[in-house]
Amino acid sequence: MVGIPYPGTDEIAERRRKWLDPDFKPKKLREISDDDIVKLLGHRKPGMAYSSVHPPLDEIKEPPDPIKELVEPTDGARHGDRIRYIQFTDSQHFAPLPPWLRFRIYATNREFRGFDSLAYSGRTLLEMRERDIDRVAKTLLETEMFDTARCALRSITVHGYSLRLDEDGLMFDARRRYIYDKERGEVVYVKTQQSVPLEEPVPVGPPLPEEELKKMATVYRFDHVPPTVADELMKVVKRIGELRVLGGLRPDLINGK
Amino acid sequence: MEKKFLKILEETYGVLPSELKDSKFHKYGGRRQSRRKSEFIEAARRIAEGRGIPSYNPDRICDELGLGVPVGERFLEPVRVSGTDVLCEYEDLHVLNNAAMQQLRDDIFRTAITCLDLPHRVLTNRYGREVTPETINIYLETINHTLVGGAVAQEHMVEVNPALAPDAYVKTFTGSDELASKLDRRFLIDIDREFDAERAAKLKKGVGASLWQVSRLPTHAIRSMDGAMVHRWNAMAQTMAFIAAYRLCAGESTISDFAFSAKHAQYVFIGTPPFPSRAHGHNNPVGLPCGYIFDIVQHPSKMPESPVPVTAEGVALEKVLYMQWYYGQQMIGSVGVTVGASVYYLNETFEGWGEHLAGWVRDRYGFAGVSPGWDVIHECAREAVLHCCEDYDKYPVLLEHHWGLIKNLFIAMMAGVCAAWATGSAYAGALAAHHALTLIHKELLLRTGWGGQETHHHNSFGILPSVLIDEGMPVELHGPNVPFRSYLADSQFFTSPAVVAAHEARMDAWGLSPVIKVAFADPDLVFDFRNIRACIARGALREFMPAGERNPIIPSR
Repeated sequence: MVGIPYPGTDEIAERRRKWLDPDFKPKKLREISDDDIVKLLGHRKPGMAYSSVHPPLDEIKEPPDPIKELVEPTDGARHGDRIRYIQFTDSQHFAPLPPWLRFRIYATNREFRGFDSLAYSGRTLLEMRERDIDRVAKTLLETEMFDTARCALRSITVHGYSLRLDEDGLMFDARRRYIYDKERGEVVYVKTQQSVPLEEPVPVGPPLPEEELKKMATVYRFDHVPPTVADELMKVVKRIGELRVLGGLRPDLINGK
Repeated sequence: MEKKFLKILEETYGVLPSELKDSKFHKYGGRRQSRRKSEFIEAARRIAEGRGIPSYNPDRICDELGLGVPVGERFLEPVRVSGTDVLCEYEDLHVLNNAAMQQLRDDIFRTAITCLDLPHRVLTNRYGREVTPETINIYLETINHTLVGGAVAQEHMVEVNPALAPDAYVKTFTGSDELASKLDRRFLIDIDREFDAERAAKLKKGVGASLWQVSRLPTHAIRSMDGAMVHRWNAMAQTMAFIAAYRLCAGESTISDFAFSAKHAQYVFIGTPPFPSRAHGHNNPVGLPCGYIFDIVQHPSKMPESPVPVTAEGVALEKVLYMQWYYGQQMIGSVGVTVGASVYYLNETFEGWGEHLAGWVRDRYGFAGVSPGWDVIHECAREAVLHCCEDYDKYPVLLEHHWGLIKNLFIAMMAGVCAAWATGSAYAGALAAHHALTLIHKELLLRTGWGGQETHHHNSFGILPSVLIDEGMPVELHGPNVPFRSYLADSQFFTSPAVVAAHEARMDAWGLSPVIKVAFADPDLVFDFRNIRACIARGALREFMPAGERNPIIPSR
């Protein structure tokens, strides 16, 4: 496995290493149609052409640039798409991916190219050219990266990651973008990520069972895999901290440490 | 022993803190579950009707137009101010809704401190006048006239209405028992009376035989202008008082020496001016060095038993000044960051974790009992992170109460305080706080976040060890003005509590300046710096009477 050599032998460390493998392909859990994804993202209507901010690259005569020779443009960049976003809030109560792991996956996995991202305490923003966003949204919503109860699409009023869960086990959303449809046994979005009401609800599938979420957990918790087992990780962060102190203004003090 | 904050959460939320689910989401009654928000809606309705221009109107903006967040879909919990039994709403703790918080700031920054040694030397050496306790007392009586806008030199001076300035006066203090005993007690901050014997002795040694003057400008003046005029106002009042009290010639060249000593030579600025884009002058929270936080706090110490009470008071003061006033209002404005800043002095959470960590430090190292090496810093940070994380994992209601990034900052702050208690070093505490946030906590939970992100916390490791002005400086001299902290205003909020913690653990009489410590021991200040949280709580209840009101010059209602 090629990836970031994340420290530790416990199951959390194992899963982090798995996720950070550039070639890792997350397991597909559900099917959401392309049109439904476009509706959820709320950037354009299904079937509408992509907006562009510049002509296709093939039609532009650009000055010579060695970097452009090295980096193959994404499909969205090649077409001159505008940059759009997808943003997730991930509950602290066993969402599969916390923000910084999302961020690092975006940075390491080969599927994500030509993006900007920002990891906050509960949410992670991902910006890309629009057709690139549409493409990766399939992965982000249909695979084990997403649980329909503990993860949510939100571009505004993102708080809720640290709140308790509702009676159906869903993460709190002040804007009620999604509800649990008891008859269908699945979560249904009634608003876009911007909280604009949808003309028709978009079902996204049932929540994963609690035990399944725990098996997928990627953070240390005292009620699951406690942080006290993360000895090797603690040794590494302790060393990083010390080297930063010593190396900041007097790198000579590191002296082989 | 169960922590008190768990009991408070159980009482306020009406459920066990370990409860993971809330079946009442979206059924709490929206924003009208809050008495304050209901009051605000009604007040804004009357304003809008009266002036014909819309005002605050969440029913319209959020519900009718569907544009804003429907506040109150969750439980809007009341909160208890730590160290008190006062239950209030977060709205009561927004600095613009709380008169005590406004006076806290006003009392600090309307203070002008000068040493009278230089003007006294001018009087003796250049004028050949005798300076005695009697002449000093006459001078003090005179400056108490000029400071509130009284004229002494010219006839055509228009004077300030003294009814606008009942809070303005001048006092002095000295480390010399002999001189202090001969000064008019109306003008004396008596070190022996305000401090215990041990601290008083240390403070008198620190202050020395110099005579220091503390001027409290009218709150009305600083609220009408800003902190940059404080030293000028004081210099005018002081110079005119010298001229009058010692019958000098108004205008001769020597008079400039008085002005120079009052404004520059021996003047103590409470805060330095910020870099230009912040557009403030002297005497503003942005320039307040955090070492002064320990000095302004006057809460009685419980050391050597516990460093928690004084540290808790310092945390409250620091949060109001740096996080609520500076970051929340001056940098952000409007709604600001009241919740994110106030939880640290609410619901006894700091006290609960503080007692655990203080006990851990006492058993393991003793207070200020170990040298600040990296092993100790890491161990303290690790203990604080794990202890707090365990509570967050066990008690989802606590996690809900500490919405968003608050949790991460709280943990980092506790790590800083823990290391400061163990080592007596603010530097160790600051490093532990940055280490906890950016490395330990972040890697365990893979969360940090908020708008400023964490870049400056990473930089801090390398920069803090330097004491050069453009690099690190001693932590006590830090404030939002320090270059590596200044570009992101949130960067120091958990390191300044470490300053208070370190000096309290050492049982220091002062942190950065004995002069500041004594100046704020003045019992006649409007805000009570002996009981900071209690005073804030009175403000929340609307029972705190501030100064600076304009009642004498406006129509009565």
